[in-house]
Amino acid sequence: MDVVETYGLMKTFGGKTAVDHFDMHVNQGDIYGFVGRNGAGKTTVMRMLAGLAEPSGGEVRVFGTSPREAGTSRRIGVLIEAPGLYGTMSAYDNMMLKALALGLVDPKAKVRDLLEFTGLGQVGKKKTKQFSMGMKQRLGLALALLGDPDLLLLDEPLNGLDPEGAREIRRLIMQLNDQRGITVVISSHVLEQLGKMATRYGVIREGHMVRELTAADVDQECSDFLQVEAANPTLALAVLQERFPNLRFQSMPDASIRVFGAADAGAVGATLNEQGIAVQGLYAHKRDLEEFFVEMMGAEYRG
Amino acid sequence: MANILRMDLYRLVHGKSLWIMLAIVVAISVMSVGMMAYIAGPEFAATLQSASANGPGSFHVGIAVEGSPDASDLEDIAEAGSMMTSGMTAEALVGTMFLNGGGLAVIFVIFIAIFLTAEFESGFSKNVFTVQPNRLAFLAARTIEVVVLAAAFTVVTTVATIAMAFATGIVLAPLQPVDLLLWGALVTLGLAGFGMLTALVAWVTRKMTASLVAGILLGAGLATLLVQGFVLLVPSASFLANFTLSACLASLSHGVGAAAILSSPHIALVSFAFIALCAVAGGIALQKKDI
Repeated sequence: MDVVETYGLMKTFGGKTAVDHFDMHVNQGDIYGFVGRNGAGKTTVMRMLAGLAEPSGGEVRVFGTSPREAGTSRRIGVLIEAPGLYGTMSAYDNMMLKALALGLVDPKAKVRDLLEFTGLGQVGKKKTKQFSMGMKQRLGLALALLGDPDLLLLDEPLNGLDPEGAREIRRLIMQLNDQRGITVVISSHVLEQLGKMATRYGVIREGHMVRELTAADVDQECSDFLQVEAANPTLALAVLQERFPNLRFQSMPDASIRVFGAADAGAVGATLNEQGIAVQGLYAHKRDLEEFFVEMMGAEYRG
Repeated sequence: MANILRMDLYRLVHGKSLWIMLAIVVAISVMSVGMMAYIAGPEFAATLQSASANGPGSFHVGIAVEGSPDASDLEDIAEAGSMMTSGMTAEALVGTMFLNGGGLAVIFVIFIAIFLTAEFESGFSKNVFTVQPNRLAFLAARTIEVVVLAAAFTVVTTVATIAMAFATGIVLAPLQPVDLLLWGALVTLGLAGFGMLTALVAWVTRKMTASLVAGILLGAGLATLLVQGFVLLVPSASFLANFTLSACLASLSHGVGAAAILSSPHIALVSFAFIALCAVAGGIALQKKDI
Protein backbone atom coordinates (compact mmCIF):
# COMPACT_ATOMS: atom_id res chain seq x y z
CA MET A 1 0.00 0.00 0.00
CA ASP A 2 1.27 3.45 -0.89
CA VAL A 3 1.34 5.73 2.13
CA VAL A 4 2.41 8.69 0.00
CA GLU A 5 1.53 9.18 -3.65
CA THR A 6 1.99 12.27 -5.74
CA TYR A 7 0.97 12.64 -9.36
CA GLY A 8 2.16 15.51 -11.52
CA LEU A 9 2.75 17.58 -8.41
CA MET A 10 3.56 21.21 -9.16
CA LYS A 11 4.61 24.17 -7.06
CA THR A 12 5.42 27.59 -8.43
CA PHE A 13 6.58 30.68 -6.57
CA GLY A 14 5.86 33.70 -8.71
CA GLY A 15 7.24 32.73 -12.09
CA LYS A 16 9.66 30.12 -10.75
CA THR A 17 8.76 26.45 -10.83
CA ALA A 18 10.15 24.73 -7.74
CA VAL A 19 8.44 21.36 -8.22
CA ASP A 20 7.55 20.21 -11.69
CA HIS A 21 5.33 17.23 -12.51
CA PHE A 22 6.70 15.32 -9.56
CA ASP A 23 5.65 11.71 -9.01
CA MET A 24 6.52 9.97 -5.76
CA HIS A 25 5.51 6.68 -4.17
CA VAL A 26 6.28 5.69 -0.61
CA ASN A 27 5.16 2.27 0.60
CA GLN A 28 3.98 1.33 4.06
CA GLY A 29 6.97 0.60 6.28
CA ASP A 30 9.53 2.27 4.01
CA ILE A 31 12.39 4.40 5.19
CA TYR A 32 12.39 6.51 2.07
CA GLY A 33 15.65 8.37 1.47
CA PHE A 34 14.81 11.56 -0.37
CA VAL A 35 17.92 12.80 -2.09
CA GLY A 36 18.66 15.96 -4.03
CA ARG A 37 20.91 18.96 -4.17
CA ASN A 38 20.18 22.16 -2.23
CA GLY A 39 17.33 23.94 -3.95
CA ALA A 40 16.24 20.84 -5.86
CA GLY A 41 12.77 21.05 -4.27
CA LYS A 42 12.97 18.52 -1.41
CA THR A 43 11.70 20.85 1.30
CA THR A 44 8.90 22.17 -0.91
CA VAL A 45 7.75 18.62 -1.62
CA MET A 46 7.92 17.80 2.11
CA ARG A 47 5.84 20.88 2.96
CA MET A 48 3.19 19.84 0.44
CA LEU A 49 3.17 16.30 1.84
CA ALA A 50 2.64 17.76 5.33
CA GLY A 51 -0.21 19.97 4.12
CA LEU A 52 1.74 23.12 5.00
CA ALA A 53 1.92 24.29 1.39
CA GLU A 54 -0.78 24.12 -1.23
CA PRO A 55 0.26 22.50 -4.55
CA SER A 56 -0.02 24.70 -7.63
CA GLY A 57 -1.07 21.65 -9.60
CA GLY A 58 -1.19 17.87 -9.60
CA GLU A 59 -2.25 15.72 -6.71
CA VAL A 60 -0.82 14.66 -3.38
CA ARG A 61 -2.35 11.82 -1.41
CA VAL A 62 -1.25 10.67 2.02
CA PHE A 63 -2.97 7.56 3.35
CA GLY A 64 -5.25 7.87 0.34
CA THR A 65 -6.54 11.37 1.14
CA SER A 66 -5.42 14.98 1.15
CA PRO A 67 -2.86 15.70 3.88
CA ARG A 68 -5.09 18.60 4.95
CA GLU A 69 -7.84 16.22 5.99
CA ALA A 70 -8.02 16.42 9.79
CA GLY A 71 -7.85 12.63 10.19
CA THR A 72 -4.82 12.40 7.93
CA SER A 73 -2.82 15.33 9.23
CA ARG A 74 -2.87 13.86 12.74
CA ARG A 75 -1.19 10.72 11.38
CA ILE A 76 1.75 12.78 10.09
CA GLY A 77 4.69 13.89 12.23
CA VAL A 78 6.92 16.55 10.72
CA LEU A 79 10.38 17.90 11.27
CA ILE A 80 10.87 20.23 8.33
CA GLU A 81 13.81 22.64 8.04
CA ALA A 82 14.20 23.61 11.74
CA PRO A 83 12.47 22.03 14.74
CA GLY A 84 10.35 25.18 15.34
CA LEU A 85 10.70 25.84 19.05
CA TYR A 86 9.86 28.66 21.42
CA GLY A 87 13.35 29.53 22.67
CA THR A 88 12.16 31.15 25.88
CA MET A 89 10.16 28.09 26.91
CA SER A 90 11.45 24.77 28.17
CA ALA A 91 11.57 21.58 26.15
CA TYR A 92 8.77 20.22 28.32
CA ASP A 93 6.60 23.30 27.70
CA ASN A 94 7.20 23.16 23.95
CA MET A 95 6.11 19.53 23.97
CA MET A 96 3.11 20.29 26.16
CA LEU A 97 1.89 22.92 23.70
CA LYS A 98 1.71 20.43 20.87
CA ALA A 99 0.31 17.72 23.14
CA LEU A 100 -2.53 20.06 24.13
CA ALA A 101 -3.13 21.05 20.52
CA LEU A 102 -3.46 17.35 19.72
CA GLY A 103 -5.86 16.89 22.60
CA LEU A 104 -3.93 13.93 24.06
CA VAL A 105 -5.61 12.24 27.01
CA ASP A 106 -2.61 12.22 29.32
CA PRO A 107 -0.31 14.84 27.78
CA LYS A 108 2.13 15.08 30.69
CA ALA A 109 2.91 11.36 30.70
CA LYS A 110 3.26 11.26 26.92
CA VAL A 111 5.60 14.25 26.94
CA ARG A 112 7.78 12.72 29.65
CA ASP A 113 7.92 9.39 27.78
CA LEU A 114 9.02 11.02 24.54
CA LEU A 115 11.60 13.23 26.24
CA GLU A 116 13.07 10.07 27.78
CA PHE A 117 12.87 8.21 24.46
CA THR A 118 14.83 10.93 22.68
CA GLY A 119 17.37 11.22 25.50
CA LEU A 120 16.18 14.62 26.73
CA GLY A 121 14.63 13.48 30.00
CA GLN A 122 17.28 15.22 32.09
CA VAL A 123 17.03 18.57 30.31
CA GLY A 124 13.26 18.86 29.93
CA LYS A 125 13.09 21.95 32.15
CA LYS A 126 15.88 23.74 30.30
CA LYS A 127 15.00 26.59 27.93
CA THR A 128 15.42 25.46 24.36
CA LYS A 129 17.46 28.54 23.41
CA GLN A 130 20.20 26.98 25.55
CA PHE A 131 20.06 23.71 23.60
CA SER A 132 22.78 22.55 21.24
CA MET A 133 21.83 21.85 17.62
CA GLY A 134 21.76 18.12 18.33
CA MET A 135 19.43 18.57 21.31
CA LYS A 136 17.13 20.77 19.23
CA GLN A 137 16.98 18.15 16.48
CA ARG A 138 16.14 15.47 19.02
CA LEU A 139 13.44 17.67 20.51
CA GLY A 140 12.14 18.28 16.99
CA LEU A 141 11.94 14.52 16.53
CA ALA A 142 10.15 14.17 19.87
CA LEU A 143 7.64 16.83 18.76
CA ALA A 144 7.10 14.99 15.51
CA LEU A 145 6.41 11.78 17.43
CA LEU A 146 3.68 13.30 19.61
CA GLY A 147 0.33 11.80 18.72
CA ASP A 148 1.87 8.49 17.59
CA PRO A 149 2.07 9.33 13.88
CA ASP A 150 2.10 6.62 11.21
CA LEU A 151 4.23 8.72 8.86
CA LEU A 152 7.27 10.81 9.71
CA LEU A 153 8.46 13.53 7.34
CA LEU A 154 12.00 14.43 8.34
CA ASP A 155 13.77 17.14 6.37
CA GLU A 156 17.49 17.18 7.06
CA PRO A 157 17.20 15.84 10.63
CA LEU A 158 20.95 15.15 10.69
CA ASN A 159 21.91 18.75 9.91
CA GLY A 160 24.42 20.22 12.30
CA LEU A 161 24.96 16.98 14.15
CA ASP A 162 28.35 15.49 14.91
CA PRO A 163 28.89 11.89 13.74
CA GLU A 164 27.84 10.50 17.12
CA GLY A 165 24.67 12.64 17.14
CA ALA A 166 23.84 11.61 13.58
CA ARG A 167 24.28 7.97 14.51
CA GLU A 168 21.95 8.38 17.51
CA ILE A 169 19.22 9.96 15.38
CA ARG A 170 19.65 7.21 12.77
CA ARG A 171 19.24 4.57 15.45
CA LEU A 172 16.11 6.29 16.75
CA ILE A 173 14.60 6.41 13.27
CA MET A 174 15.39 2.76 12.60
CA GLN A 175 13.97 1.81 15.98
CA LEU A 176 10.74 3.70 15.24
CA ASN A 177 10.45 2.05 11.86
CA ASP A 178 11.25 -1.40 13.17
CA GLN A 179 9.31 -1.42 16.46
CA ARG A 180 6.39 0.88 15.72
CA GLY A 181 6.08 0.33 11.99
CA ILE A 182 6.31 4.05 11.25
CA THR A 183 6.88 4.93 7.61
CA VAL A 184 9.63 7.51 7.28
CA VAL A 185 10.45 9.95 4.49
CA ILE A 186 13.84 11.45 5.24
CA SER A 187 15.97 13.85 3.27
CA SER A 188 19.60 14.23 4.13
CA HIS A 189 22.93 15.18 2.68
CA VAL A 190 24.63 12.74 5.01
CA LEU A 191 24.44 9.93 2.47
CA GLU A 192 26.54 7.59 4.54
CA GLN A 193 23.94 7.62 7.32
CA LEU A 194 21.09 7.54 4.83
CA GLY A 195 22.61 4.48 3.16
CA LYS A 196 22.53 2.63 6.47
CA MET A 197 18.80 3.04 7.04
CA ALA A 198 16.94 3.71 3.78
CA THR A 199 14.96 0.88 2.20
CA ARG A 200 13.94 2.95 -0.81
CA TYR A 201 15.21 6.10 -2.45
CA GLY A 202 13.84 8.92 -4.52
CA VAL A 203 16.15 11.31 -6.32
CA ILE A 204 14.94 14.81 -7.12
CA ARG A 205 16.61 17.18 -9.50
CA GLU A 206 15.36 20.65 -10.37
CA GLY A 207 11.90 19.75 -9.16
CA HIS A 208 11.66 16.51 -11.14
CA MET A 209 11.76 13.00 -9.75
CA VAL A 210 14.77 11.56 -11.53
CA ARG A 211 14.32 8.03 -10.29
CA GLU A 212 12.85 5.94 -7.49
CA LEU A 213 14.71 2.81 -6.58
CA THR A 214 15.07 0.26 -3.81
CA ALA A 215 18.08 -0.12 -1.56
CA ALA A 216 18.80 -3.37 -3.41
CA ASP A 217 18.85 -1.48 -6.72
CA VAL A 218 21.32 0.99 -5.25
CA ASP A 219 23.52 -1.80 -3.92
CA GLN A 220 23.58 -3.41 -7.29
CA GLU A 221 24.30 -0.20 -9.14
CA CYS A 222 27.05 0.74 -6.74
CA SER A 223 28.74 -2.60 -7.17
CA ASP A 224 32.05 -2.93 -8.97
CA PHE A 225 32.00 -2.29 -12.64
CA LEU A 226 34.38 -2.27 -15.51
CA GLN A 227 34.73 0.92 -17.44
CA VAL A 228 35.44 0.36 -21.11
CA GLU A 229 36.47 3.10 -23.51
CA ALA A 230 36.39 1.82 -27.06
CA ALA A 231 36.93 3.41 -30.47
CA ASN A 232 33.43 2.51 -31.60
CA PRO A 233 31.26 2.48 -28.47
CA THR A 234 27.99 1.58 -30.21
CA LEU A 235 29.50 -1.46 -31.90
CA ALA A 236 31.46 -2.36 -28.77
CA LEU A 237 28.25 -2.30 -26.68
CA ALA A 238 26.45 -4.56 -29.17
CA VAL A 239 29.35 -7.02 -29.26
CA LEU A 240 29.63 -7.18 -25.49
CA GLN A 241 25.88 -7.60 -24.98
CA GLU A 242 25.86 -10.52 -27.40
CA ARG A 243 28.93 -12.16 -25.95
CA PHE A 244 28.10 -11.65 -22.25
CA PRO A 245 24.30 -11.94 -21.90
CA ASN A 246 24.52 -12.34 -18.11
CA LEU A 247 26.21 -9.00 -17.58
CA ARG A 248 24.53 -5.62 -17.46
CA PHE A 249 25.77 -2.71 -19.52
CA GLN A 250 25.30 1.00 -19.20
CA SER A 251 26.18 3.50 -21.87
CA MET A 252 27.48 6.71 -20.32
CA PRO A 253 27.24 10.29 -21.63
CA ASP A 254 31.02 10.40 -22.21
CA ALA A 255 30.68 7.41 -24.62
CA SER A 256 32.26 4.98 -22.19
CA ILE A 257 30.55 1.69 -21.31
CA ARG A 258 30.05 0.42 -17.81
CA VAL A 259 29.89 -3.34 -17.34
CA PHE A 260 28.15 -4.59 -14.18
CA GLY A 261 28.27 -8.11 -12.82
CA ALA A 262 31.05 -10.70 -12.61
CA ALA A 263 32.96 -9.33 -15.54
CA ASP A 264 36.44 -10.53 -16.39
CA ALA A 265 38.44 -7.58 -17.70
CA GLY A 266 40.69 -9.85 -19.76
CA ALA A 267 37.74 -11.56 -21.46
CA VAL A 268 36.09 -8.24 -22.24
CA GLY A 269 39.29 -6.82 -23.73
CA ALA A 270 39.94 -9.98 -25.75
CA THR A 271 36.40 -10.01 -27.15
CA LEU A 272 36.71 -6.43 -28.38
CA ASN A 273 40.11 -7.13 -29.89
CA GLU A 274 38.74 -10.15 -31.71
CA GLN A 275 36.16 -7.90 -33.36
CA GLY A 276 38.81 -5.36 -34.31
CA ILE A 277 37.55 -2.70 -31.94
CA ALA A 278 40.39 -0.70 -30.45
CA VAL A 279 40.25 -0.56 -26.66
CA GLN A 280 41.36 2.88 -25.45
CA GLY A 281 40.76 2.24 -21.77
CA LEU A 282 39.72 -0.62 -19.55
CA TYR A 283 39.72 -0.44 -15.79
CA ALA A 284 37.80 -1.62 -12.74
CA HIS A 285 35.83 0.90 -10.76
CA LYS A 286 33.75 0.95 -7.62
CA ARG A 287 31.22 3.68 -6.93
CA ASP A 288 30.32 4.70 -3.45
CA LEU A 289 26.85 5.87 -2.48
CA GLU A 290 27.78 9.52 -2.71
CA GLU A 291 29.20 9.20 -6.17
CA PHE A 292 26.14 7.25 -7.27
CA PHE A 293 23.67 9.86 -6.07
CA VAL A 294 25.71 12.88 -7.03
CA GLU A 295 25.75 11.58 -10.56
CA MET A 296 21.96 11.30 -10.59
CA MET A 297 21.42 14.59 -8.83
CA GLY A 298 23.78 16.53 -11.02
CA ALA A 299 23.25 15.21 -14.54
CA GLU A 300 20.54 13.60 -16.56
CA TYR A 301 20.39 9.97 -15.62
CA ARG A 302 20.75 7.56 -18.53
CA GLY A 303 20.23 4.23 -16.84
CA MET B 1 -10.57 24.72 18.01
CA ALA B 2 -10.89 23.93 21.72
CA ASN B 3 -7.45 22.27 21.62
CA ILE B 4 -5.90 25.37 20.06
CA LEU B 5 -7.45 27.43 22.85
CA ARG B 6 -6.02 25.04 25.46
CA MET B 7 -2.60 25.23 23.83
CA ASP B 8 -2.63 29.02 23.77
CA LEU B 9 -3.86 29.25 27.35
CA TYR B 10 -0.86 27.13 28.36
CA ARG B 11 1.45 29.42 26.39
CA LEU B 12 -0.07 32.53 27.95
CA VAL B 13 0.26 31.17 31.47
CA HIS B 14 3.74 29.67 31.08
CA GLY B 15 5.15 32.44 28.89
CA LYS B 16 6.34 35.79 30.17
CA SER B 17 4.95 38.33 27.73
CA LEU B 18 1.39 38.46 29.11
CA TRP B 19 2.59 38.96 32.68
CA ILE B 20 5.11 41.61 31.65
CA MET B 21 2.52 43.59 29.70
CA LEU B 22 -0.05 43.35 32.51
CA ALA B 23 2.64 44.42 34.99
CA ILE B 24 3.34 47.45 32.78
CA VAL B 25 -0.37 48.32 32.79
CA VAL B 26 -0.50 48.07 36.59
CA ALA B 27 2.70 50.11 36.95
CA ILE B 28 1.32 52.86 34.70
CA SER B 29 -1.91 52.85 36.73
CA VAL B 30 0.02 53.20 39.98
CA MET B 31 2.23 56.00 38.68
CA SER B 32 -0.54 57.93 36.92
CA VAL B 33 -3.02 57.79 39.77
CA GLY B 34 -0.27 58.48 42.30
CA MET B 35 0.79 61.54 40.34
CA MET B 36 -2.82 62.71 40.06
CA ALA B 37 -3.38 62.27 43.78
CA TYR B 38 -0.20 64.20 44.53
CA ILE B 39 -1.12 67.09 42.23
CA ALA B 40 -4.62 67.23 43.67
CA GLY B 41 -3.37 67.05 47.26
CA PRO B 42 -2.53 69.88 49.64
CA GLU B 43 1.19 69.04 49.66
CA PHE B 44 1.59 69.98 46.01
CA ALA B 45 -0.22 73.32 46.51
CA ALA B 46 1.92 73.98 49.55
CA THR B 47 5.04 73.27 47.54
CA LEU B 48 3.94 75.72 44.88
CA GLN B 49 3.13 78.35 47.48
CA SER B 50 6.53 77.80 49.06
CA ALA B 51 8.20 78.18 45.67
CA SER B 52 6.24 81.38 45.10
CA ALA B 53 7.18 82.78 48.50
CA ASN B 54 10.89 82.12 47.94
CA GLY B 55 10.78 84.57 45.03
CA PRO B 56 13.65 85.31 42.63
CA GLY B 57 16.34 84.06 44.97
CA SER B 58 15.32 80.46 44.42
CA PHE B 59 17.33 77.99 42.40
CA HIS B 60 16.03 77.40 38.85
CA VAL B 61 16.78 74.48 36.56
CA GLY B 62 15.55 74.23 32.97
CA ILE B 63 13.46 76.78 31.15
CA ALA B 64 13.21 80.07 32.97
CA VAL B 65 9.76 81.60 33.10
CA GLU B 66 9.30 85.22 34.02
CA GLY B 67 7.81 85.57 37.46
CA SER B 68 6.56 82.93 39.90
CA PRO B 69 3.09 81.40 40.27
CA ASP B 70 0.77 84.12 41.43
CA ALA B 71 -2.44 83.76 43.42
CA SER B 72 -4.45 83.24 40.23
CA ASP B 73 -2.23 80.29 39.14
CA LEU B 74 -2.57 78.69 42.54
CA GLU B 75 -6.33 79.04 42.38
CA ASP B 76 -6.35 77.38 38.94
CA ILE B 77 -4.25 74.50 40.20
CA ALA B 78 -6.45 74.07 43.24
CA GLU B 79 -9.51 74.10 41.01
CA ALA B 80 -8.02 71.49 38.66
CA GLY B 81 -7.13 69.32 41.64
CA SER B 82 -10.62 69.71 42.98
CA MET B 83 -12.11 68.67 39.64
CA MET B 84 -9.90 65.64 39.53
CA THR B 85 -10.80 64.48 42.97
CA SER B 86 -14.49 65.14 43.04
CA GLY B 87 -17.25 63.64 41.01
CA MET B 88 -15.11 61.87 38.44
CA THR B 89 -16.47 58.48 37.44
CA ALA B 90 -14.27 55.40 37.45
CA GLU B 91 -14.77 55.10 33.68
CA ALA B 92 -13.63 58.69 33.13
CA LEU B 93 -10.60 58.18 35.40
CA VAL B 94 -9.47 55.08 33.48
CA GLY B 95 -10.42 56.66 30.18
CA THR B 96 -8.42 59.84 30.84
CA MET B 97 -5.32 57.84 31.60
CA PHE B 98 -5.51 54.93 29.18
CA LEU B 99 -8.02 55.50 26.38
CA ASN B 100 -7.69 59.13 25.34
CA GLY B 101 -4.43 59.07 23.40
CA GLY B 102 -4.43 55.33 22.83
CA GLY B 103 -2.17 54.24 25.70
CA LEU B 104 -4.00 51.01 26.46
CA ALA B 105 -4.51 50.25 22.78
CA VAL B 106 -0.78 50.57 22.12
CA ILE B 107 0.13 48.30 25.05
CA PHE B 108 -2.44 45.76 23.92
CA VAL B 109 -1.34 45.66 20.27
CA ILE B 110 2.30 45.27 21.32
CA PHE B 111 1.30 42.16 23.23
CA ILE B 112 -0.87 40.82 20.41
CA ALA B 113 1.88 41.40 17.84
CA ILE B 114 4.39 39.50 19.99
CA PHE B 115 1.98 36.70 20.82
CA LEU B 116 0.75 36.06 17.29
CA THR B 117 3.98 36.43 15.35
CA ALA B 118 6.15 34.43 17.77
CA GLU B 119 4.74 31.14 16.49
CA PHE B 120 5.57 32.07 12.89
CA GLU B 121 9.02 33.48 13.63
CA SER B 122 9.95 30.49 15.80
CA GLY B 123 8.57 28.01 13.26
CA PHE B 124 6.25 26.45 15.84
CA SER B 125 3.36 27.20 13.48
CA LYS B 126 4.39 24.08 11.52
CA ASN B 127 3.39 22.01 14.54
CA VAL B 128 0.15 23.90 14.94
CA PHE B 129 -0.96 23.62 11.32
CA THR B 130 -0.15 19.93 10.98
CA VAL B 131 -2.28 19.30 14.06
CA GLN B 132 -5.05 21.69 12.99
CA PRO B 133 -5.00 21.98 9.19
CA ASN B 134 -8.34 23.80 9.17
CA ARG B 135 -7.24 27.41 8.94
CA LEU B 136 -10.73 28.69 9.74
CA ALA B 137 -10.77 26.82 13.05
CA PHE B 138 -7.39 28.40 13.79
CA LEU B 139 -8.81 31.82 12.89
CA ALA B 140 -11.88 31.33 15.09
CA ALA B 141 -9.71 30.32 18.05
CA ARG B 142 -7.43 33.31 17.63
CA THR B 143 -10.35 35.73 17.25
CA ILE B 144 -11.84 34.47 20.50
CA GLU B 145 -8.45 34.86 22.16
CA VAL B 146 -8.07 38.45 20.98
CA VAL B 147 -11.47 39.36 22.45
CA VAL B 148 -10.80 37.51 25.72
CA LEU B 149 -7.35 39.10 26.05
CA ALA B 150 -8.84 42.53 25.35
CA ALA B 151 -11.29 41.87 28.18
CA ALA B 152 -8.43 40.80 30.45
CA PHE B 153 -6.45 43.98 29.71
CA THR B 154 -9.57 46.09 30.28
CA VAL B 155 -10.34 44.42 33.61
CA VAL B 156 -6.77 44.60 34.91
CA THR B 157 -6.42 48.24 33.88
CA THR B 158 -9.75 49.22 35.42
CA VAL B 159 -9.26 47.30 38.66
CA ALA B 160 -5.68 48.56 39.12
CA THR B 161 -6.67 52.16 38.46
CA ILE B 162 -9.73 52.14 40.73
CA ALA B 163 -7.82 50.32 43.47
CA MET B 164 -5.03 52.88 43.29
CA ALA B 165 -7.58 55.72 43.37
CA PHE B 166 -9.04 54.31 46.58
CA ALA B 167 -5.57 53.77 48.01
CA THR B 168 -4.51 57.36 47.35
CA GLY B 169 -7.74 58.92 48.56
CA ILE B 170 -9.12 60.12 45.26
CA VAL B 171 -12.86 60.29 45.69
CA LEU B 172 -14.74 58.92 42.71
CA ALA B 173 -18.41 59.20 41.92
CA PRO B 174 -20.36 56.20 43.19
CA LEU B 175 -19.87 53.17 40.95
CA GLN B 176 -22.76 52.39 38.61
CA PRO B 177 -22.30 48.66 37.95
CA VAL B 178 -24.42 48.61 34.78
CA ASP B 179 -22.61 51.61 33.28
CA LEU B 180 -19.26 50.16 34.29
CA LEU B 181 -20.07 46.79 32.70
CA LEU B 182 -21.33 48.39 29.51
CA TRP B 183 -18.30 50.66 29.36
CA GLY B 184 -15.99 47.67 29.99
CA ALA B 185 -17.67 45.69 27.23
CA LEU B 186 -17.32 48.56 24.77
CA VAL B 187 -13.67 49.15 25.69
CA THR B 188 -13.09 45.43 25.23
CA LEU B 189 -14.63 45.57 21.76
CA GLY B 190 -12.59 48.63 20.81
CA LEU B 191 -9.37 47.05 22.01
CA ALA B 192 -10.26 43.81 20.25
CA GLY B 193 -10.72 45.83 17.05
CA PHE B 194 -7.16 47.11 17.36
CA GLY B 195 -6.02 43.60 18.27
CA MET B 196 -7.60 42.14 15.14
CA LEU B 197 -6.06 44.85 12.95
CA THR B 198 -2.68 43.88 14.37
CA ALA B 199 -3.51 40.18 13.97
CA LEU B 200 -4.31 40.80 10.31
CA VAL B 201 -0.89 42.37 9.77
CA ALA B 202 0.68 39.46 11.67
CA TRP B 203 -1.04 36.85 9.49
CA VAL B 204 -0.24 38.68 6.26
CA THR B 205 3.41 39.49 6.99
CA ARG B 206 4.30 36.84 9.63
CA LYS B 207 6.83 39.42 10.89
CA MET B 208 6.95 40.75 14.44
CA THR B 209 8.53 44.06 13.48
CA ALA B 210 5.92 44.83 10.84
CA SER B 211 3.10 43.87 13.20
CA LEU B 212 4.51 45.97 16.02
CA VAL B 213 4.99 49.04 13.85
CA ALA B 214 1.57 48.76 12.25
CA GLY B 215 -0.15 48.05 15.57
CA ILE B 216 1.52 50.92 17.39
CA LEU B 217 0.79 53.42 14.60
CA LEU B 218 -2.86 52.36 14.48
CA GLY B 219 -3.22 52.20 18.26
CA ALA B 220 -1.70 55.64 18.64
CA GLY B 221 -4.33 57.06 16.30
CA LEU B 222 -2.54 57.36 12.96
CA ALA B 223 -5.61 56.14 11.10
CA THR B 224 -7.72 58.74 12.87
CA LEU B 225 -5.27 61.48 11.87
CA LEU B 226 -5.44 60.33 8.27
CA VAL B 227 -9.23 60.32 8.35
CA GLN B 228 -9.22 63.78 9.93
CA GLY B 229 -6.91 65.00 7.19
CA PHE B 230 -9.21 63.53 4.57
CA VAL B 231 -12.23 65.15 6.22
CA LEU B 232 -10.50 68.55 5.99
CA LEU B 233 -10.19 68.03 2.25
CA VAL B 234 -13.70 66.61 1.84
CA PRO B 235 -15.95 68.26 4.46
CA SER B 236 -18.97 66.26 3.32
CA ALA B 237 -17.23 63.14 4.60
CA SER B 238 -16.83 64.53 8.09
CA PHE B 239 -19.06 61.78 9.50
CA LEU B 240 -16.19 59.32 8.80
CA ALA B 241 -14.23 60.75 11.70
CA ASN B 242 -16.64 59.01 14.07
CA PHE B 243 -16.07 55.63 12.45
CA THR B 244 -12.52 55.00 13.65
CA LEU B 245 -11.57 52.86 16.62
CA SER B 246 -9.59 55.74 18.09
CA ALA B 247 -12.69 57.96 17.98
CA CYS B 248 -14.66 55.24 19.76
CA LEU B 249 -12.04 54.86 22.51
CA ALA B 250 -11.73 58.65 22.81
CA SER B 251 -15.48 58.82 23.34
CA LEU B 252 -15.27 56.06 25.94
CA SER B 253 -12.62 58.08 27.78
CA HIS B 254 -15.53 60.21 29.01
CA GLY B 255 -17.61 57.22 30.02
CA VAL B 256 -20.86 55.99 28.50
CA GLY B 257 -24.33 57.42 28.16
CA ALA B 258 -24.78 61.15 28.42
CA ALA B 259 -21.10 61.77 29.06
CA ALA B 260 -19.97 60.10 25.85
CA ILE B 261 -19.58 61.76 22.46
CA LEU B 262 -20.67 58.67 20.54
CA SER B 263 -23.57 56.43 21.44
CA SER B 264 -22.96 52.95 22.82
CA PRO B 265 -24.58 51.15 19.84
CA HIS B 266 -22.43 53.21 17.46
CA ILE B 267 -19.25 52.25 19.31
CA ALA B 268 -20.30 48.60 19.47
CA LEU B 269 -21.13 48.45 15.77
CA VAL B 270 -17.95 50.19 14.62
CA SER B 271 -15.79 47.95 16.82
CA PHE B 272 -17.61 44.81 15.74
CA ALA B 273 -17.28 45.83 12.08
CA PHE B 274 -13.50 46.16 12.49
CA ILE B 275 -13.30 42.76 14.21
CA ALA B 276 -15.43 41.08 11.55
CA LEU B 277 -13.63 42.66 8.58
CA CYS B 278 -10.21 41.81 9.99
CA ALA B 279 -11.36 38.23 10.66
CA VAL B 280 -12.54 37.84 7.06
CA ALA B 281 -9.35 39.35 5.63
CA GLY B 282 -7.25 37.30 8.06
CA GLY B 283 -9.07 34.15 7.01
CA ILE B 284 -8.26 34.86 3.36
CA ALA B 285 -4.59 35.49 4.23
CA LEU B 286 -4.37 32.28 6.25
CA GLN B 287 -6.00 30.25 3.48
CA LYS B 288 -3.88 31.70 0.70
CA LYS B 289 -0.45 31.75 2.31
CA ASP B 290 1.62 28.64 2.86
CA ILE B 291 3.14 27.95 6.25
